[in-house]
Amino acid sequence: MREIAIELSGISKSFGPVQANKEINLSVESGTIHGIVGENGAGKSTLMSILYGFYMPDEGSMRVFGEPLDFNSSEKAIEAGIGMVHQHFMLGEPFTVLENIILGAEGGFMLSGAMRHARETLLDLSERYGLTVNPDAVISSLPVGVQQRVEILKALYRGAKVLILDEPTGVLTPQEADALFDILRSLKEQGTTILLITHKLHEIMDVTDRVSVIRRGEMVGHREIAQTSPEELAEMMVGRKVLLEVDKTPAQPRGTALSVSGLNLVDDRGVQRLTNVSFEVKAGEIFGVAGVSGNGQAQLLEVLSGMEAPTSGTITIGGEPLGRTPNEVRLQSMGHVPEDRQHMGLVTAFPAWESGILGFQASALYCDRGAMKTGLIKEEMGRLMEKFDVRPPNPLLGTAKFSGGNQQKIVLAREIDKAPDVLLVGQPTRGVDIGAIEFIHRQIIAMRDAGTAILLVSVELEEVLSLSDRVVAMFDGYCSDAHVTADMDERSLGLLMAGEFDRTQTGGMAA
Amino acid sequence: MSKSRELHPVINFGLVPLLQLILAFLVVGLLIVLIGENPVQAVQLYVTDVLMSQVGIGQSIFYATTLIFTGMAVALAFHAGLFNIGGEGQGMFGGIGLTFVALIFMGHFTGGVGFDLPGFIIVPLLFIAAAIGGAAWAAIPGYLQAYRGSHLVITTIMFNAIAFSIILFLLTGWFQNPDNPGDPKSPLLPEQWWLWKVGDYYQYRLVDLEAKYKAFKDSGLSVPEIRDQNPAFWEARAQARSMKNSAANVSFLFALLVAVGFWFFVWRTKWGYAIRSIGFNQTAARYGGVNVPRTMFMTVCLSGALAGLASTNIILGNGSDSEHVLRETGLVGLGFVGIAVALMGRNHPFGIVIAALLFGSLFQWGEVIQLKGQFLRPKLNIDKEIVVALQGLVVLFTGALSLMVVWAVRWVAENLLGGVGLAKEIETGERA
Amino acid sequence: MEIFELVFSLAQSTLRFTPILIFAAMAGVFSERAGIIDIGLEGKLLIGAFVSATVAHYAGFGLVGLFAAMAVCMVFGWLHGLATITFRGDHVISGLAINFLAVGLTKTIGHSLFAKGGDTPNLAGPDSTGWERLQSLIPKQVLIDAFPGLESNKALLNVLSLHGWLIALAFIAVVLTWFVLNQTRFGLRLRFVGEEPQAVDTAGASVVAYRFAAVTIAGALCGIGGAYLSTSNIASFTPKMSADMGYLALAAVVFGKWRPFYAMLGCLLFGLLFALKNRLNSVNEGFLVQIPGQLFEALPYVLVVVVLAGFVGSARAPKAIGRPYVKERE
Repeated sequence: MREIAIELSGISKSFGPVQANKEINLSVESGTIHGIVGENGAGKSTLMSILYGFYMPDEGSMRVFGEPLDFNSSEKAIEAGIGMVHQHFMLGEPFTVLENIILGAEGGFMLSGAMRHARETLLDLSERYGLTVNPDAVISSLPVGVQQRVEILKALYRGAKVLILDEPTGVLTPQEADALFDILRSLKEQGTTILLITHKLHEIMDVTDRVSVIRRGEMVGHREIAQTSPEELAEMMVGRKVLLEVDKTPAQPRGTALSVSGLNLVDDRGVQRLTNVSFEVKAGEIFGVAGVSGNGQAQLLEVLSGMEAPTSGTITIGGEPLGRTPNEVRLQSMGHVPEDRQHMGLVTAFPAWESGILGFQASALYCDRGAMKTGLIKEEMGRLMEKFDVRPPNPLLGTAKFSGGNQQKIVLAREIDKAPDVLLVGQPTRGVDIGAIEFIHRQIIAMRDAGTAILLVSVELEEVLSLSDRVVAMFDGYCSDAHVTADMDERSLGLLMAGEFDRTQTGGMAA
Repeated sequence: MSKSRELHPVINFGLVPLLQLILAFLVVGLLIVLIGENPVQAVQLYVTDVLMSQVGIGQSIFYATTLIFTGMAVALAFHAGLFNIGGEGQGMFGGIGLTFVALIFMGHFTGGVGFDLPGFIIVPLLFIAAAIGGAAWAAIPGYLQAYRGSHLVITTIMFNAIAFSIILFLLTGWFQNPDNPGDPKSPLLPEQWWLWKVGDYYQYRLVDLEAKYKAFKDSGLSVPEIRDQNPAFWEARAQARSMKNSAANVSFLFALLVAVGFWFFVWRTKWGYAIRSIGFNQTAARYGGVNVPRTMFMTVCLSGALAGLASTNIILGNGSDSEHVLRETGLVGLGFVGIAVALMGRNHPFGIVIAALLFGSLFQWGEVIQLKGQFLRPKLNIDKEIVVALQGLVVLFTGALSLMVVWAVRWVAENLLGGVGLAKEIETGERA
Repeated sequence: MEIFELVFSLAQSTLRFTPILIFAAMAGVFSERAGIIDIGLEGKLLIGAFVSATVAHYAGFGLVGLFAAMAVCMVFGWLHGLATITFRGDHVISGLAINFLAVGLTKTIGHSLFAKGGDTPNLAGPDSTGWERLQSLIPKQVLIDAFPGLESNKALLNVLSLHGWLIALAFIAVVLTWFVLNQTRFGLRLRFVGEEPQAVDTAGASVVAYRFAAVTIAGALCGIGGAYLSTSNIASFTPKMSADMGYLALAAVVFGKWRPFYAMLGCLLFGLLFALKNRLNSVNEGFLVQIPGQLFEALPYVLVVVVLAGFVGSARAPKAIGRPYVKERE
């Protein structure tokens, strides 16, 4: 039996009326990679934040290498040898790697000594673990994968013996993720204990030794990887058999509804965001766009919805050139469910009935010579909310008061109800609970079957594979050729997502 | 999202602002004690000479009229997420626009050759000129904010200072009254353009009353005899004499009308929808087809127009017959008080009108303290700028420290009153 | 050499204006780098000026006034901190409140104390000892009384009395600000607090403490700036004497992209504009077109707007500026 690196007992934490963690017990053996898996919002990150001294739990105790540790002090957690790599990097973007690394571990009042020491240590660490980084580079100039390395170095610099990684692969390509796992394995070999938090089962199966499953704030079980299967873990995560396959009949594609050719976009800072993107979406099909987030999908959606003017290229919808503003594009019967409903799809400070007409506030449907038809809008929203099973179906309630899934249904209701010819859908199920996911998927398929051309952007591989009829992948602003989804699997799509496709040609026209 | 228990709307919109206001008054009371004066005396003066006095009420309404405009100017920009501190300068430029058009009609620039048009044509033109003047002065900071990203707070502050220089320049030059070169003010605007004010009624009555008084005197009665024999007449004459300059005027009603229009515009039109959407979330607004920079620019211009309209009250509705002129000091700081009014009124026209009336009366209180404090026994020796300190405290407690009171009320409701005053839990469906 | 004389007098008068701007601008740099917008620089300058002149009058020592001004301004800094850090209030609103308070309080208290319309008594009056003002650290008269020979040697007298020491201090403050921000642990953490506060929190340091430290330093610096205004630059307080200098200082901070040396250059530029304005206003120079005086008054403000609109388009403010720090869940 190895030494126990971390032992949690009876941890409970609630935020107001929400119980994020409930009587959680966990013990992690030192020198292993221990996975913690659970759905989005199951309480994984809260648990890790408690472990790291970021939150104070309401109840429970913790031991690190046998020594009891006070909660609510990151300083003590660091002293005890815990290091954390957060899901959202906590790096100061205009600062150098070195400055980021010494933050909080400066040693003395003056920086110069710490800088020198950090430079030497960094050299040493990079040799030992293959973590190469230029210490004088400014963070904002580094690719995401390297930024993550800086986070890991930050923890190691503080002498971390236990490394917690919170959803580390969310922003990485499969290949970058593999590189990360190599690093984690070599860390393990040299004695570091690693806690890996993720909602991706294959990562757990690939890299961890043991796994603990958390569901709705409660620990539902611990398993040795050698003695479990993805199916068992998935069932533990959601508490019932999951239907990974989506019920749908083969598509009946008709004529081209949306055509994109030679699209380029250079943003305000002069960064090339889209390069020579070309594809066609037919009426009656779901066209999937896979890719790790940040590879140009957001920009593609912005251009297609008229929010951003392309630098060059042509886009036609139903044969005519795409309008130049979101309003013109909407009039061409294009709907848009944006990737980020909280920041784009809804004004969360508005009541639901106002959010429910965003984009149509000036249309003759809801507006008469500038004055909004309030009574009519509220009535219609009430009807739509019933139809789309928004809970509670109260159009006067503030948008922010709805749960993520219900907010997403408000956006879908608004866009789908106008029966658009083309529908852009970005990350339809991000942060949405299982029940709502099924509902949303059914709605999208129903739209397809009614003859709408659907462009689906998702970073969830499984979602793209199960929903779309044809699929492309985006990498660094480039778009691959289109493939029939039935011919693709996770591995082949993963290669496309990693940029393993011919980027010299005008893509997107095959299949 | 979570289930939440919030403060009941009555508490949130009623009790909380009241407590914040009380805090501000308590601190000012403390200040009065600290400088060795008697706060009770100061409050008495507020009650007797502002709240209970016809003159006081009239003046309060006069100041409140200006404040409704400058308050709405701040509030409109707030709805777009912008902070327009330029009410002072935009108000001045409203006055400049108004005076410029007035002077054209008066023939000021053309050697006395003007156009003699009736008031019902010219006065609306002057209102429009005031709005345009204010909007024009807001346009540059608005443009710079919307299209160049220059911070509106800094540019409007600078523009206040610049406006002050320009108005002084005009008043000592092009706009100056040629008959009175020592005094930087414009020529007096003709009487037929003045707004109808409460004082007019008393002036009209006073003609009769003074004639009667003269008749009494001519009949050989002494002053005490007149007073004792005709108490009703005497009182009526005294009232008319004190009220003949009462400045409450029709532009107060106009302000109320604009306030209703403000509500409709902001909450019931697509333009208001666009403004509020950029105030809350510019990305969502852009997604919703709102042209963010243009909406920003237009909002700042409209905000400036509202501030510009404040000058109609000051110039056309002035209580003093000789003050229907443009002066650099015309706004007497009311452009800035608009910020406090908007904050206290929670950017809603109803709240703004209430807050404007309160601040109007406080402004009058300051005047009364300054004028009458010396003659009280014992003396009340307080500078009228104490109203500015009070204004600062109101901004502090209703604006910046707002959550302090909210949290305190919540804490009391949850821990001492067992949840009294908290609204019911809201059902938000399943968790994310 | 008329041109030489003009340049010299302009430089001199620039040097007289600039320290006010520099002290306030360095206050702004500390505050804004920590993520706190500080419109209240203006009010704190005014309060500092009032407190220092008043205390110097009663105590008879300018230095006592200076320390009092620093202390009182720190308290107002804490008030700003309470509103923006503790109670997550809007930074601009809180700053404005402080500015209103400053105008109201100084006039009310000044009127009550001295009954001179808000002015404080002249510190350079006939019965002054010389210690009341801060132009020199040691009053010249005291030195002359001790060493009568000095009276004829103006230069030596200036050196020995440390004449203009506050002006020098302003420039030293720039160097110190740079040093503290860039070379010390405190500064590194302060900069991170304004940029990525979570990083500081997870590194085990308190965001709240660093932000309060920033507003405290800002208060102290404004106190010095105010003291310079009323006890060094001139010899009494007059209402609203800060005359938008605090706002100009803030503009200089933005102009200087939140860096001490660049901000100092902004202050020198604005100081020069003020000097130019005064110069051209008093003597209508022949080589310039006759422009009415009132328009010259507006010159610095116009140029501030032009400079901000023209140069600052690309500047990037600290990322967390104006945002309260709340530990967010998940």
